[in-house]
Amino acid sequence: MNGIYLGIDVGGTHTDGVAVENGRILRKAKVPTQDDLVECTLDALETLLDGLNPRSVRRVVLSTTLVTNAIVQGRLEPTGTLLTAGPGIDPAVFAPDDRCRVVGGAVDHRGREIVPVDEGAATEHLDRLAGDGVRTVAVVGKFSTRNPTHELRLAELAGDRFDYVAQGHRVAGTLNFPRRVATAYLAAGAWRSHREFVAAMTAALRRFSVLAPLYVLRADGGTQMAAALANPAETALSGPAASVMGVDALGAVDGDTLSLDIGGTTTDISVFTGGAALLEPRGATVGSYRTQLRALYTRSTGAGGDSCVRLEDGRVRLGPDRCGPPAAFGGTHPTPTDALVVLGRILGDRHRAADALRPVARGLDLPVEAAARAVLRELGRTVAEAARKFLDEINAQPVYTIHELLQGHRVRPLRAVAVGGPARAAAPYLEDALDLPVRVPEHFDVANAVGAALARVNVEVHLVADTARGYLSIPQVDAYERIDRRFSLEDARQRIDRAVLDLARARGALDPDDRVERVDEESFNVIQGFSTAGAIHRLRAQIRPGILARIA
Amino acid sequence: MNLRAPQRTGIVFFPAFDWAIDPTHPEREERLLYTRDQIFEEGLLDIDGIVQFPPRVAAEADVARVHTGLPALADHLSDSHLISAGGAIEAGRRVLDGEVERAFALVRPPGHHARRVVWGLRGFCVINIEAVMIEHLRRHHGPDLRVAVVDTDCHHGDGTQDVYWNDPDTLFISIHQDGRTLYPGSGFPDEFGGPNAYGATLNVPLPPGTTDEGLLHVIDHLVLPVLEDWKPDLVINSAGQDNHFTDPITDMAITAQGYAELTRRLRPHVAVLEGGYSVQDALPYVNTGILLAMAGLDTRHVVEPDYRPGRFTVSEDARRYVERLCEILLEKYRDRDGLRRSAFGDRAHHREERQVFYDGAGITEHQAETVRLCDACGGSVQLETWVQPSRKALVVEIPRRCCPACRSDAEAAWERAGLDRYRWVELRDRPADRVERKTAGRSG
Ligand SMILES: [Zn+2]
Ligand SMILES: [Zn+2]
Repeated sequence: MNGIYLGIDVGGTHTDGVAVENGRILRKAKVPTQDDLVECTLDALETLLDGLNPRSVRRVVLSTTLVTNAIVQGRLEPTGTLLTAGPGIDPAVFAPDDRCRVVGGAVDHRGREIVPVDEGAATEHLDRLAGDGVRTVAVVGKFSTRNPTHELRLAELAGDRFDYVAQGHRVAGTLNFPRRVATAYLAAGAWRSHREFVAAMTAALRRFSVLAPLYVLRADGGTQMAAALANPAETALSGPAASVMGVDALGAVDGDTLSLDIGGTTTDISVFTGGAALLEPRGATVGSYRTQLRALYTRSTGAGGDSCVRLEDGRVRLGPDRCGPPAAFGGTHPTPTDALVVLGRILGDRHRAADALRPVARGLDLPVEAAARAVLRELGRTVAEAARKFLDEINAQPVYTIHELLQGHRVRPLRAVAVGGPARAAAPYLEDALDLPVRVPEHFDVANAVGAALARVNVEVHLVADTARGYLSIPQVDAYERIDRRFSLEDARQRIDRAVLDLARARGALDPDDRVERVDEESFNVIQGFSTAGAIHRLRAQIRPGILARIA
Repeated sequence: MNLRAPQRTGIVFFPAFDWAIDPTHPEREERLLYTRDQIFEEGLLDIDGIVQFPPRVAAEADVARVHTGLPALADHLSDSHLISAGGAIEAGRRVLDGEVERAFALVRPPGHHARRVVWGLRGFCVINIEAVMIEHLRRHHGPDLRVAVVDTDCHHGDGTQDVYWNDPDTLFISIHQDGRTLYPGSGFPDEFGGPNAYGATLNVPLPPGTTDEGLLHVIDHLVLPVLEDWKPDLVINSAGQDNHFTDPITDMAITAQGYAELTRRLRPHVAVLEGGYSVQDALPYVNTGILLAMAGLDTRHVVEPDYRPGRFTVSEDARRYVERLCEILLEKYRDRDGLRRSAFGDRAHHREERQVFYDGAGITEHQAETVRLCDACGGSVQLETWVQPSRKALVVEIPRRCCPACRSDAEAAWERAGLDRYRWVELRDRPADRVERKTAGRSG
């Protein structure tokens, strides 16, 4: 990788940035996050580019809370939704808001049309939406990833009266109608603000004479060119993803590894196994929305460096709230960070920290130093308990073949990696609680920005070939093709490999090391009566989320 | 936006995508493929209050508690069967542990044609997954569990009937297409239980073409009143789905709506998938309907693509036949103690002979069963079984809740049985959860 790679992660309190060249970190930036995300991004950029030639920047990768915040705070653009469903749960249950309408039309599990789409009802609803000034629409059909005809027709009916139409089959390839509805709805609702942000950022980069393309980080730890992003909702939860990729980039992963990102009020836990971070089995939950967004599998526990310390029934408790900054840094309430300051593990106003901790110490009937240790043990305990619960959940993931069940692969991390501000100081307490060696890599304080800078362009593609129906679908590349009876598993393999590479190229620079990895393969004979009518091949292939290079 | 189940419901979903009896057999890899697609696309596993549990692999001891395998039990067991039975066990266990109120074991292969003695494959079944579950639960969660099994598979649940033939603590009700028109050809109203469990077996043969209305009539006018009287701790539904109007190997006219409504009225604690071979046009909808109904959720929209209300009707005669059948059976059930006295009098032992055909193995088994009549327990049982007269086995059963008299009767039979007469003699001491065997020769 030649040239300079910039990574910027706009977090809740800090905006972190790094400039990386040939596996070396050239510059680091840490600035406070402001309301205007463009402003703080530019502040970080200014620091990073100081003394560097902006024209040697190869790409700029951004991870922001823009979309997450819009979703969580209910600031999405008003969006109309049209659903077609057919047999099953009453689709009206999944209406995201009262601008949604279910129209007639149904496709079955093999992608066969059962009921044609009710164009009259659809047009009527679209007219009403347009009349109400709604400018973005989501159209979602049950089993649309098997046959998108209805969604395509609805998008056609929407025409150019709307600025953006999110189509269910394009936002995710897996089966899950309720999540597809939520995902398409979020894509439409976040579309405009994301677009404006990208435009503003691109313009700002040009003012800094950075001509390299702008990339965004996605929830699964992969990146792609901002201009080619089909679903802006994919940038939700990119913050936790940035840290996880950073842990990998800082060279700290070795076998099954637990990754801990200790932040202000939370610690995010994730797991590496087989050389890669685990992904959410069904998709990310963002705010109250369960989506199909591919996301790194992370669990957050409400305990971080700035969590409020309380006494409850004579025991130390943390969080989940934050009561301002740590006392050692101008706040009023005691925090784990203050405990670290009291013990001399990080620098800060030791007197203020001790004063803040004193009521806790008195309640525990301990000297202040012992109370500080109790606070940190509680931090370790909370994180360790959450990690254990998370591992149980991971190891309870269902399997559907005898082979997999009897193999019973279980994830058992033998080491942990901690990053984030208080990581180094708190590591011994985490080690005790987890009963695992905890490694804190160099540059642990900007792991998130390093992850953004070095994230790989990744893709995931699903193929279903049904030779009895004579039909093949790959929703991610909009491929819906006729096939004949002789279409074999090997043909399917070649077709999906091609789709993966095409999609990766469309999303950004293809790395020479990129390998297509076929992750799932299923082949079933379709029997009609008592003879074979054809076969169904289902494949999933990807360029897995990963990093371009490790920091030397 | 997120659905919540009024009844916390567990699901053990194990489609065994890598196992088939043979490639074009109805019991093949593809069987639950479309069901999985429907379940995933509906987002059923995302519903709050629907919890997925992995199956376990049942232990050989779990199977041995129910079955005598000949020549040896291990000859018949495979991982697929042990996982299917383990899936049922897991469903039952989670209910008894209170983790969920109900559970659905959506597993394959099925088991309700597997009888106490197993010489081979029968009706796609080798081991009786419901019985293996029930006896596991009795062993580990309470020996006194009163259980009712309501078998709504289209085929007579002859295996389950045989397992519980002499058990006064297990009620078995089978509702199925009339045996004169369908495999296995049994399941008539006069099959009413062994001498110490008379009336604990009920058979409801329905005419081909029976609709939702007929099936629900049986639930309302026979099954529910009997259950109310019987007061089981646990209701198990052997939820076969081959009554569906599209099933390729049967002739009934039940719809997904019918199955959902049946489940809602029956309120089983545990449902276990049995048959059902319309893998594309029925199973995805029927399974969705059953799971939603168990969870207490709306099922009105779970309808097959080609369904319309009133599509299936039956003649007035057929309707009256089903009504009359329910009346007769309910009366018979209520009068079971009187009927028992007149059927068996005060004989000391009761002897029955039967033949069992193994369609999967192409063999016919002969059985002669002697049961000690007893008012205090299920009675000791001596079961002679052979495929070739020169290779006979004797199975002596000391029932789960055994009185001292029956125990000495059984122990005497075990002592007496010599290897001059039998190739194998097996003592099944249920209270001790122990199986002992005497085997002639080296080959077993
Ligand atoms: Zn059946
Ligand atoms: Zn007795």
